[in-house]
Amino acid sequence: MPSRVAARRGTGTDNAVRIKSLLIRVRPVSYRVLAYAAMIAVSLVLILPLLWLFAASLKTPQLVGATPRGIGEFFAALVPTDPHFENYVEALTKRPFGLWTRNTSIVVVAATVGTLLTGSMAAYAFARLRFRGKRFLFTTTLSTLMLPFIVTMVPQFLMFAKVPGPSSAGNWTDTLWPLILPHWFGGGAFFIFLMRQFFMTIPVELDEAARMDGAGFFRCYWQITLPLSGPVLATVTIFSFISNWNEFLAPLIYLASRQNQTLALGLQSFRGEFSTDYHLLMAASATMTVPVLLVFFFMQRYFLRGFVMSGLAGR
Amino acid sequence: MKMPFKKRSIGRRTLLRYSVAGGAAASFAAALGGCGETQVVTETKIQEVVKEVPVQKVVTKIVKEEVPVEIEKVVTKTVKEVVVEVQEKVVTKVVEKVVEVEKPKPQALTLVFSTWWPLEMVGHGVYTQKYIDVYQAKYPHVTIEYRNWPFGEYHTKLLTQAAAGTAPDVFAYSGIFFPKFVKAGGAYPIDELVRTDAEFEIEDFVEQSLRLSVVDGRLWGIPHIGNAWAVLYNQQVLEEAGVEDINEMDAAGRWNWETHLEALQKITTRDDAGKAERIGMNDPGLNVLGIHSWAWQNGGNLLNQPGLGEFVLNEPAGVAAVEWAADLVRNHQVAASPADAFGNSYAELNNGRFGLIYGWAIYSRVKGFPVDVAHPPSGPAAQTTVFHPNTLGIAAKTKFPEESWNLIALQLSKQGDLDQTKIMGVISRRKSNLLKMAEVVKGQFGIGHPEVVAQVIENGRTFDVTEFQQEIGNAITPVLQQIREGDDAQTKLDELKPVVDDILAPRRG
Amino acid sequence: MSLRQREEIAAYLLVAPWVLGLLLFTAFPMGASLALSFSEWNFLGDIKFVGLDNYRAMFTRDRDFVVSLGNTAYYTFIGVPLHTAFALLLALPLSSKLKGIRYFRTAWYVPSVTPAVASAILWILIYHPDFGLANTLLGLVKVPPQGWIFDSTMAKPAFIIMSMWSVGGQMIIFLAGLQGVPQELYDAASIDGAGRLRQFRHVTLPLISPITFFNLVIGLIGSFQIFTAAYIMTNGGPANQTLFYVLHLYRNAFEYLKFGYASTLAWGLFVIILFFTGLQFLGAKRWVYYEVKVD
Repeated sequence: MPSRVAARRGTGTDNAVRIKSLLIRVRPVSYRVLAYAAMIAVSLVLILPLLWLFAASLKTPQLVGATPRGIGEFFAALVPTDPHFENYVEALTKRPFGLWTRNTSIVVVAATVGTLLTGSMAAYAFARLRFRGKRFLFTTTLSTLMLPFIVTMVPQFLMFAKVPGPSSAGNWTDTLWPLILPHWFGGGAFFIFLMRQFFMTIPVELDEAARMDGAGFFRCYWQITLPLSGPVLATVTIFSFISNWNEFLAPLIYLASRQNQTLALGLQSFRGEFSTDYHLLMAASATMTVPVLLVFFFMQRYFLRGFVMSGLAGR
Repeated sequence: MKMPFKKRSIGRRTLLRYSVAGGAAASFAAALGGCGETQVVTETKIQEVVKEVPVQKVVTKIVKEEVPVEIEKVVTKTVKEVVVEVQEKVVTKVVEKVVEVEKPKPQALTLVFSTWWPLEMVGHGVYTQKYIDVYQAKYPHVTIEYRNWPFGEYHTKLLTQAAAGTAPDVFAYSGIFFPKFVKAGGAYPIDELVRTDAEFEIEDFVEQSLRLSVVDGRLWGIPHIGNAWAVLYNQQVLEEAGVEDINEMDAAGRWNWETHLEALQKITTRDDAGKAERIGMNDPGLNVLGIHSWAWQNGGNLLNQPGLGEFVLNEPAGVAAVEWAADLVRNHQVAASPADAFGNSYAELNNGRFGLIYGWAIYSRVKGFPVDVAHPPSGPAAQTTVFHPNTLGIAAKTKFPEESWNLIALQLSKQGDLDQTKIMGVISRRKSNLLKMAEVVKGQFGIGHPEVVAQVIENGRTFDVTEFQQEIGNAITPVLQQIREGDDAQTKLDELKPVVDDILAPRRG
Repeated sequence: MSLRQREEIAAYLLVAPWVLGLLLFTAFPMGASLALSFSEWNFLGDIKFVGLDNYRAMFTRDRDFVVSLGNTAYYTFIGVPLHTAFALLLALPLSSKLKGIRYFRTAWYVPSVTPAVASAILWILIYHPDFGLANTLLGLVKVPPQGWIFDSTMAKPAFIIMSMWSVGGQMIIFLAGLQGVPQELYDAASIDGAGRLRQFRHVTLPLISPITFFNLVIGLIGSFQIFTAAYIMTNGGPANQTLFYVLHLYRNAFEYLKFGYASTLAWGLFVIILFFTGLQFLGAKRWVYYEVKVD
């Protein structure tokens, strides 16, 4: 079945486009209204946690901890009647959020760039090139995902703690390096595997055509594959951004002093032994989700259909 | 090394001026003393000396170290030092004296101190900041670098740091987890430091609070912020439900398991669908901490011997205590179900959804609530409760045990202990403070009966903690949950016995 | 130099950083944990070699090993197919060209960016037996109320339902995959008279099969390692029903300070995941369609 589909690729493009535009025009309006209604309903359900987060961030501590009695109270809880905006002031000014934002941004940007570059290089080799030891290396790559991080974390931490480095203690701990460096060495098996899977869906004839024109393997990678991989590069960027932005365990283990902390770590300082300042925690959390949502919102233009097609058209 | 008592501080400039004047006066005295030849020499020398290094050096040091200075003496020294060049014999003697005044300045150092709360935190943070400031003023050569990590991950962080040899010099540690850390070799033994510190009266501590910090016969920490399990009740709710004030019941000797159940039944109200609108109390302690309290009240226990013991909760007194607590949920339905208990108990007490809760005897967060504190009821065997302090300890690999100890001693001094109650809202662990504590908390933290708090601590017991505490806890908790859901207590606890005994087997050897 | 040789050199240069990182940041820690799995180590003391003792203990003495493995297998084998299908279902409408679709994409992705603590608290409220949203919805269709995460029999299904909420990541991967399917193929299919359902079966599914495969593999690996939600929400309860494998491992490592034994557990999990991932790769030959041959 797949081969039949593939064989048809690239035929009848012009006719199809014309017919399709015709189809869209005659589609009944009610269908579209229905689609919107359904999607809005799904949106409301899925956006609930964020609504609740924002609502909780505007309440007094007593109200956040209380269990809503009945479904009415549950939804009423989403609309705070007496919003306490001062929660935000308290959450954001009493701690060095500016410094923490700076540290977090450095890590996020450096790690993401490293992952995009070195990860896509490895993924391209796995997807397109033939070399000895490829199967073994790929299996090893995947298998690194299978050992829980909390186990490899300790030996890795000890390595950074024992090897001489730039920190005041003469090692690498309490610096941002352990949070960045690993991302410049492939960025992890998850992203390599993800990109490999995508590169494999890109028609191989494109590479072949380019090579006939005299392009080397590096040019094929840089000028054919990467430009055609907008959706997956955007996905990697979003995932890398979010995971580094929210990463908690690694900063916890590596960073010690207050001025070197990241946002996710600082956020946890609202959690106490017996009680949590939920209103402040939520206010800080809400603030922290804004950049992530913005990145997502603006990165998704790389998901636009036709990105891949434009590459095909230029063949 | 203790500094001499400070009488009066003198600015450096003032002192210089005095020494100049004094210098002149002394030379005049010398002139009176005789030999004209010397006099001339001395006078010219004085002029020089005042400007030159030696004098200034002495003066500077005196000022910096805030040593009380008798001005005339200094001046004499100065002058005699000047005279040195003329009369050799005097010289030697005086130089020695000068050396006595000079004290080697202690090396500047940085001490890392960690807990699980940030300095911005109301109560705990304020207290900690205050004592860091006091410490740094008292020991100006020490800079304290404060670090904090959230409680949930605090001990993990400390462990990995200890493994890398970079653990904080002084650290707070949860009392329950501490013996394991000590056994692993993470802490520095402090018995010597305590013995040599004359001002720190260790005998003043409630004995059993120290027991948690003793491992293999040595002392490894001092009980830090601690608390005791007590009853906090919403007076308004009790009044509405027609329940007599708990403290009045207690005073009349009528606060026991029967009246406790009656009170809970009166408080609990349900709507037509059977949903609880108001619930008697929060989770009745079907966990390692709470179950100790019920077992003791019934004459039972978890283990029969501190540390070395065997599991005995499956004996009649223990089983009955577990059933009593479980029945409050599964039969009488007057205590919060796990779902109800999940929220913030203090908030639910405040808004009147719970009539009473078992919580910490003094808890700073209950400020402004219409609540009071009471002793837990007397059970068939005794009226007692759980008393649970944490620990301040020193890292095994610290380079500065003395300075580290000073930081602990200061925070847990009589004043520091009392300040913990006043600022943090935790209970005192020093006997001499138990009654003072009552005064301090009166009217604060919603406490109308402060004497009850002292009583709770005196009647409270710490439970036997070994390095296997967490294994035992993780074994017991699921079983208690099964019993709460309706399983037979005797059967389940009998099944549990070999599991717990197996965990403790290494202790018995 | 032949083309084949040049290809090999290019490949080695491209994978060089990753191989270096693999050795430095992964192979070393993995090797260390393998060595520790044959040892006793409490983080601070000396490392004591104990041979196969830890492995023996895992199979004979550790009751919670069996319990946690059972819980984790249940969660994985029921959960992963469900939330992979759900992610694809969500991704389909999002790949359309409807006006304002980017707002929907952002909204649907929101659950994945909400901080874990916040969503944990929210889900506890949703699962509240008396007042929660879940039981209210059941009440509308006349289903008796459930105890959810507070009830031994319902706790694991409750965790699976909760995991469906945060499939945003997989949804985005599917979305990116769907964007890669050339429109002309759909057009060609519709000219041939294929309906939407047949287009989906014969065009979409085969073409995104590498992506589906990716999501299934990663889903299985991740699902076997579930930890945070159980750590925050139930800490293994009620009655050990959500004592998942990594939670048990975490307790051994950081609460009981048995890091050697925790490493043994980790390698046990490694072998289990490796086995099931291997099965997936074997099965993949029958349904995953690649543009180029994998070798």
